Amino acid sequence: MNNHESKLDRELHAHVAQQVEDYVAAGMSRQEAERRARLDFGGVEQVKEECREARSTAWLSEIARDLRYGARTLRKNPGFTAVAVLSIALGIGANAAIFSVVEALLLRWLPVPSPQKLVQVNMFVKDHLTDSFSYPVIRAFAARKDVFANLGGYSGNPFTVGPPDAPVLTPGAWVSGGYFAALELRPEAGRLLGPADDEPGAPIAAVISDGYWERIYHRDPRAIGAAILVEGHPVTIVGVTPPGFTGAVVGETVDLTLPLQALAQLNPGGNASLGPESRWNRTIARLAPGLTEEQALARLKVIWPTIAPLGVSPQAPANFRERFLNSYLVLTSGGAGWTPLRNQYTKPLYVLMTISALVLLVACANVANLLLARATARQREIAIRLAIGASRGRVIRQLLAESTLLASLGAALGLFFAQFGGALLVGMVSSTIHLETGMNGAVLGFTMAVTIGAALLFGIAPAFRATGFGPGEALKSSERNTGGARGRLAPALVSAQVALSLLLLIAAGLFVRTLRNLENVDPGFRHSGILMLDFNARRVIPNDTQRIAFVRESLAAISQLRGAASVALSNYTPISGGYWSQQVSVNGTQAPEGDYPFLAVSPGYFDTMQMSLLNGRDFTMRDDLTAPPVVIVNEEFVRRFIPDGHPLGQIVSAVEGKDFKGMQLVGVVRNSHALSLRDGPRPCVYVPYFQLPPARAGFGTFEIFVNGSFSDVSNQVLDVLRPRLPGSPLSTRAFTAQIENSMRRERLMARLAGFFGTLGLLLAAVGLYGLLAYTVTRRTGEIGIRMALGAQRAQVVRMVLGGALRLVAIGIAIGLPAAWWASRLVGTMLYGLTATDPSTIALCVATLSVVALVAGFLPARRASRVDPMVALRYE
Amino acid sequence: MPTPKGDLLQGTLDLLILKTVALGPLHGYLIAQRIRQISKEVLQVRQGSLYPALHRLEERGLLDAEWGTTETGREAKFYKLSRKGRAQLDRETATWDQMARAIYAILQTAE
Repeated sequence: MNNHESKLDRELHAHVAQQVEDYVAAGMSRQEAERRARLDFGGVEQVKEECREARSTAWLSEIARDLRYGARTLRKNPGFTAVAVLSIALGIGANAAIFSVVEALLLRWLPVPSPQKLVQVNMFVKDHLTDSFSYPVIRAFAARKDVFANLGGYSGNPFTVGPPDAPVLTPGAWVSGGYFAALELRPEAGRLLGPADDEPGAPIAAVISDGYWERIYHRDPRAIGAAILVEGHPVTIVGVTPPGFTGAVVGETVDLTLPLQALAQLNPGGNASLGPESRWNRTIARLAPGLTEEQALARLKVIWPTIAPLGVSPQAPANFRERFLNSYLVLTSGGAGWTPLRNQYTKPLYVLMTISALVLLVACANVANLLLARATARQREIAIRLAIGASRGRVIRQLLAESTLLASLGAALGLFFAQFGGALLVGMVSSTIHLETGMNGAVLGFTMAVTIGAALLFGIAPAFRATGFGPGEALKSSERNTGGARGRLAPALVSAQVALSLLLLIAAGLFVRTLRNLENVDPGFRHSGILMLDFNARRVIPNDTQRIAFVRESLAAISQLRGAASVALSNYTPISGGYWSQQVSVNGTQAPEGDYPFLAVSPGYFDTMQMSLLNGRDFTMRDDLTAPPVVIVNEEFVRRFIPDGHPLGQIVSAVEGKDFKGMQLVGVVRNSHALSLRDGPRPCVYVPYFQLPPARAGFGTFEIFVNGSFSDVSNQVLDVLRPRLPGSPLSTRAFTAQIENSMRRERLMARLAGFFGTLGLLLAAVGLYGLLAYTVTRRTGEIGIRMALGAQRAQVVRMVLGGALRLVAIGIAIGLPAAWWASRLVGTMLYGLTATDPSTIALCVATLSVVALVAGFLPARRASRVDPMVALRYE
Repeated sequence: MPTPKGDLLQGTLDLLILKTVALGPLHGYLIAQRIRQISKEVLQVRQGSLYPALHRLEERGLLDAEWGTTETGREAKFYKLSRKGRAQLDRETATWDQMARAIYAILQTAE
């Protein structure tokens, strides 16, 4: 570069020298000749600058020079640099952290060949979209080679592996015969499962993951062909999946994969899970070669009426059958796998993406304002550069290089924040999911794009402003009088910040209050002080009579424990995500469309859970299989289905199947939130645990109302049960934790929206403070004159604060309609308030105004302390 | 239109430079002088346009440059036409020719 410079210098000097010689030859004095030659040539520096610019390849070295120059300027202003970099880092960090979760949960391709060609089949039953199909339907799909080259069904499932005395719970999956073919995976060793493995009577084959092969077998090739015990049955390992592949369920590791058909042999009652109405498998498929998605859908539309009947039992109620047979299929992208979290979190994550983008905008406005202020301070320097021949474009480029440098520093720090933030976020989404949210190509690419966008956003306007005056003008006037460089842009930026932070605050207010409303919901049962323990004795005690005896004995034994004030048992627990529901009839009349939650509970359940019986009696230990079937329902059930007000003695039956028929209603309990805190009251049906069909009994949850220490009771319970259930995973938990778990999504939104709202408010306050402080400095002279002419301090404070409030008012006037428009997008995520809740919005406006007043008060007070004499002398 | 000491039409300067150095290597001062002489003092090339144009043409590979000594024994940067520059000159000359003829034809039409 320096070489270039010196050559350019020599070339131009040669020109002038030649001219001088010619003038001398023409008879001029040397002195006169030199003067004329220089005049002829004009501005040497300007010509040089233009020559430099003419060299297009020089841009790289010029950018390097710009960056070096920028770095020097930033180093010279550490305070400015720190504030700007921190603002950007918070903005970019927030975006990168949330994007890393979006990428991991929603966008990341499975590690298989051409994942973008994978599709998932979904079904619309009435208006309800489902992605789960029963096994017969999946087999029928897979057989249609004219639509699907290959199609497989799959579902995650933990397996117990090893001998009964030392079982290990191993994460795994059930898959149908076409699964691996559809994924087009190549085995790391041995072979993968194929259609032949998924036929009735086929020897049970299993595929293990590369990680499992490494951990358990140390990559010993003899693992292939080895027999292992799964659920107590011998199973042969036939192959290993390639490294990196951990199943198609996002965030879950699959170490052991078994064909669905093996379910019939491995689990008692497994056959039912392969029946027409057990819709629990997701699909993954590749279309037949050359087929577009539209063509495939057209063919599916034709063949679905022949397949659909396989997915509904002939005994199903007519209206249900009809609804199912009138369903239709849709295809979605399957290459990113499947996770139940997507249904719950897609919208919240995109809302959070939007919120973090707003934070970044507020941060950008802040930095733009800082740059504007500094451009004013640097006016002289820029004017000199323009005067000695730098073009405006050149100086703008220089200033933009500085912004890019700022943004990049911010991005680097932001990525550092994001690294922790991403992992923290995943933990808030789910405690069981394992997602790599570290830096990867997608996240880095996204961050780079955001960084460049941010640099341009906050850099361009100040750069144009800073260079938007003639050099002469800037050089002549002093810094104070050319504050026009900030002009109307700076106040506009502050108003924009106020508007954006109002949006953020309102979002925060809505989500925080949603969480508070949910926390304040009366669930209708006691939740603190309840210890829960899940158990499943079906494998360890296969004999029905022994197993039910074990459950009775355990219930009695636990109730004797020190600190167990009250004990009960149920097959599911409220607000756990898992439930059982059936269609019901009362006195032979089917209840209106829909199925209602059923719960099998032991005597004492209502007492333990503090659900008051309003009418009739509780179950007793005598309500067992030898006694006539009885049932308890809740108030809502009575209100909806037994309106004459005499519920006791009515006959309630489940519509489908052969169980739960002719149950006599013996009691009515208070309404409670059985499935979710958000629900309104639902009709619920309670049946005695000991009247469950034996195949359905033997698993469930003990609920213990603890009077004393949780850990003490917990240890005693485990001591009682462990010897009886060798090898079964047993652990206890507090019911409150389960209820809190059900509010995970709301807590995530409340915390993040709250955090971002505070951040936006702070940034806006800094922006407002900065602008006012600057204005006061610039107007010191004017304020001095006003005070000299008799203005009171209070008047000066009012003047400055009035200016601040005007900006805030404009911001609020813009922010409110924007919030009104945007809040409709989050309406369905709220609980107990509408998206335009007036009190929340009023509170946000008030908070914002108070913070603005505080931010404005400091500069205002400084203005009021201006000593007129000092100010005027300064002038 | 070029008037005495007037500005050159955009893009014309490049063509003139290419043509001027087509006869042999010249340094910047001589290029300006040649253009002035040949155009009979009609076309004045300002240094502020000449040197950026030379550097631009060199950068685009239309001119080759090397350092040499002038007749007066002074060190100077000499520009000469590259192969690419020759082709460019031919093309632009043809275009210019066509354009000039077209404009002339229009100017010749009777009113």
